Amino acid sequence: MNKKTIVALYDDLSGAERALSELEAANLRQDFTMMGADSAKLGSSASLATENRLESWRHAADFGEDPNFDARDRRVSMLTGIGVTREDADVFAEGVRRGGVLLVGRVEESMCDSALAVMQRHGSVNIPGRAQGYREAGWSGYDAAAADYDSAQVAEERRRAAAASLRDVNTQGVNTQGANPAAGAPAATPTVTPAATPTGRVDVNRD
Amino acid sequence: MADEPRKVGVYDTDGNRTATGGAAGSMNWWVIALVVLVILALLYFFL
Repeated sequence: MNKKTIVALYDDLSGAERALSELEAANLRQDFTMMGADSAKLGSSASLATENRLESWRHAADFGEDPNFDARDRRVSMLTGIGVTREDADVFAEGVRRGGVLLVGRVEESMCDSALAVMQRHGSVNIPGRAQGYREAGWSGYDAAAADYDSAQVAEERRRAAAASLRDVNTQGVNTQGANPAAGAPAATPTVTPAATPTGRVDVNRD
Repeated sequence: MADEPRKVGVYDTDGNRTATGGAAGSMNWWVIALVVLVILALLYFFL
């Protein structure tokens, strides 16, 4: 059977976990693994239960790669090794470096659309938009020698992503019901417009 | 935004990006085949 590699970047752990839970309900969990969960939980008080859950998510799928693929210098090669283009792999690896979480799956082509719908529903990042945002801030590509963001930088990055997401929603006039692009992110910055919900989250349905 | 929103990356194992939604990637072949057929038909009728 023909398989596809599918990858989604989330700004925080909660979106990725919700997507993975739904994939589990659809009997697709065994095809997915998670990258970046360790750095993404920075700043949260992770309980033992959370740790155990993360451990199970990380090992949901066996891609046959080095079990240490989450290391900074192996992120891009792990992704390109399973078919991700170099350009996208750079963006995904940079997202993980900045506290994001990747869901990486290899699914049968016949199940691809179902998995895509689930992954998009839980606030996955717009890949070209995020790449453009990075570049506008001076980024030119993933640098494995650069240290991962610390908790303060991760929090700031999530605030920036939430604000950018809100700007996109407001400028594109997207219906604000459904998915959750900045779920779990800290409360939105003062740039939030009255269109935001009281929690600072905005639900987006791009379907 | 300069590019179309793309919230999930879909790839063949050889590293080619596939259009989100599945069928669009293979549609190009049908378009090319159709154009070739139309050209052949036009040549047949006019030459």
